[in-house]
Amino acid sequence: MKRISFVAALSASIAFCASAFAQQYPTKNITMLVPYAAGGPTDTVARVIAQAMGKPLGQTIIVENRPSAGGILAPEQVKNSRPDGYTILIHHIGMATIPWLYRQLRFNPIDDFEPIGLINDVPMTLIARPTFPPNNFKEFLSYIKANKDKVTYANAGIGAASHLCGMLFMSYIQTEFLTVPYKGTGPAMNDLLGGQVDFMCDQTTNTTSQIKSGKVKAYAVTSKKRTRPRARPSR
Amino acid sequence: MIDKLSSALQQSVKDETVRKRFADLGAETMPPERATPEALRKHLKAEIDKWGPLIKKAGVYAD
Repeated sequence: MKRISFVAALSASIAFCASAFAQQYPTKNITMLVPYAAGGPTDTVARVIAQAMGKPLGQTIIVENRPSAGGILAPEQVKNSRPDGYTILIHHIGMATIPWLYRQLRFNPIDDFEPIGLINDVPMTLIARPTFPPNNFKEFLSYIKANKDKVTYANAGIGAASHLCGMLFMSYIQTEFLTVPYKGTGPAMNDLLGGQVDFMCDQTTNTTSQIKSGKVKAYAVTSKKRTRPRARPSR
Repeated sequence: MIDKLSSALQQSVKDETVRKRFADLGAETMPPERATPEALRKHLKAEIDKWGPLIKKAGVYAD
């Protein structure tokens, strides 16, 4: 299985300034802003890590969702919040692509935040509609190259992991495909399941259940070792 | 402050419950040595540098 050198990592950052009472920190609840809607993959990660981090800190970390297109609202709010360590941010690969996708950005991902650390790494999977002819990654590559004017690639909108992965994949195999942008992963996945669009590259957090239940064909995963049993190529 | 938050994160990524929840999502939990400010700073910078040329070449903007 070919490894595509792309890492979609979730990262946590924080606005910061030196505080005279830093040694007593934290003395009250901390708020973690999530740039995406409740119930999505980033929100789920936020809730797991917030609960775990609260224990050693001896305080509750409250998760608050600030969904917005491209995930640009939450970082802006964290930047504008008091730099006292009580407002922290969770984000993902979007933090690195936002500066290139938005010309009117009101924050700088590097200068305006104090990093805390990386949380996890979400592999990307290459999937196709259940009726797509190729049966393995090798067949898939030759098929899409041979039919490059006919096959269609779905993505969940500009800046979404599926959009970025598609860009990287096309640049990697040096072939361009017709891209169909959707408003979110849900509609993109629906059309893929329905066969209106051919293939998509997206995070395991979005594709695992469909791959597991055999509703899509899976060809590749970007993790170093094969993810089991979720990303097994389907028959 | 950052030290406390970061050390809480490092403890959390070692937590078996956390690792299992992430694995269920299909995600790989970072080892504690990457759950640090230095690792995130380095990673973010590298990713920003990596995506610039690709996005520029594709000529896409979200605004």
